[in-house]
Amino acid sequence: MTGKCHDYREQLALALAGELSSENRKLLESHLAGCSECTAEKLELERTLGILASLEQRETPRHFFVYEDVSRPSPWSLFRSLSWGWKGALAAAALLVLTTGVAALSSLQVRFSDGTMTLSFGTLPPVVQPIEAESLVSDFSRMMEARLEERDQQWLDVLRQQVSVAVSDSENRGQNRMEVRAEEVRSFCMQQLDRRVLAVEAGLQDSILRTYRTLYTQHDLDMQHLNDRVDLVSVANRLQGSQTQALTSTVLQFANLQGRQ
Amino acid sequence: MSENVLGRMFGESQAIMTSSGRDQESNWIRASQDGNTAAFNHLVLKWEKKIFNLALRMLRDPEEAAEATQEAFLLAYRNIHRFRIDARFSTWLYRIASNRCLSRLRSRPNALHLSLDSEEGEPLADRHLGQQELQEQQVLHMERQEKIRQAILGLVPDQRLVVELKVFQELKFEEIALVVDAPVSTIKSRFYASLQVLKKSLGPLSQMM
Repeated sequence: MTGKCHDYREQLALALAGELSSENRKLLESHLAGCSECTAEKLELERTLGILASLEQRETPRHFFVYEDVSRPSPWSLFRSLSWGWKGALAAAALLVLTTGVAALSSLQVRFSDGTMTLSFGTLPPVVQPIEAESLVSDFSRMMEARLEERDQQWLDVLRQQVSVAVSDSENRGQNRMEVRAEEVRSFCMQQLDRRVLAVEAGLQDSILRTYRTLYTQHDLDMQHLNDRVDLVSVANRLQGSQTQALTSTVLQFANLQGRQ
Repeated sequence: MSENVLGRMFGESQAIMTSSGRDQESNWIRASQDGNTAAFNHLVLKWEKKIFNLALRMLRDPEEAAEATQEAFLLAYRNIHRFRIDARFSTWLYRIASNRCLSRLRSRPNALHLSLDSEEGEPLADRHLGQQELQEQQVLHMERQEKIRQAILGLVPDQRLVVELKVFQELKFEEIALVVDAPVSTIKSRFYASLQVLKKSLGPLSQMM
């Protein structure tokens, strides 16, 4: 048997079961034509299927019916129909429920009071005193008033909060506007100041220039006047040499002093 | 079964019985879904032999096979409202019956899966040779039938179910895949493996043919 034969064996079973496609069936038939082992296998499988098909159907021992009254199974029959795994799981669950139930019953306490019976798991609740209708109404009224007051208070708190938020917003907006205006004013002042400074600087320069010119002119005049006087003095005092010399020296000192100013 | 009982069981659905074929089966299914027990019993009557033989070849014991058959029909009746009318009733019913049989096989102790020594497994000749009225030919025939059953029972349950549904119930591989809820390729492999086992176990019988 070759590896190719092995591939055809399962197809052989499918062909005998009538479920091999015509294309694969042709391939299988061409293989069988040249392979005696696979042909022998085919005959054996045909014989096997033939023997199986010869098995007769048995008659049922009775007819089976479904009745209305037996359509619902009993719990016991349902339990019996379960597998062993499910039976074990159910038994464990039942044991757990039983244990919990016993534990709960062991802590059960009973109290009879004023014709009433109280059952409790664990400690019993405190005895409840009978309630009078008038006190109940007054309690209810107080409770409602308190609730209304509380609601009003809450409403007022909310209102205050909203007003506070609104005022805060308004103040913030006003402050922002003031800051903008102050900035504008500051900017305007700075511009004006700069302009004034420029103007003052220009005026000061002009004044210094005029002063310088005035002094320069005055100096020229003084010098001219001095020269004139010197000439006069020179002429008048040609004869008074020493006096003239002293006068000239004084005049020169005066002239130097004027030049420094 | 007396005529009275049969009349009680089927009397309510005479009108349904007048139709035929697949339409008739569909009518019975619809009536069953409406709670008509009598209509469902028509379905039971139609399928009981096939389901019982399936259970018998799966479980071997006739009593247990009858119980499994009854359980399968009861389950089918209780769940008939879930059946989609466009599906194949046979596939749905085979699925329920197969699951009942596999469930019973699983609930058995493992050793009994392949046990061949129960009452059904005894050589029939031993049981029947004492009965003078049976001819030798009949005894041989019954022995041969029993050996075939034993050979089938020698398969593991999954393979046995595929052989049952393919060879005896004549379902297609695709239908078997739906019944046992497995891929078609798996079903084909199981069928091939089953034939290889059966070829060996039935070999002596083939030489007697």
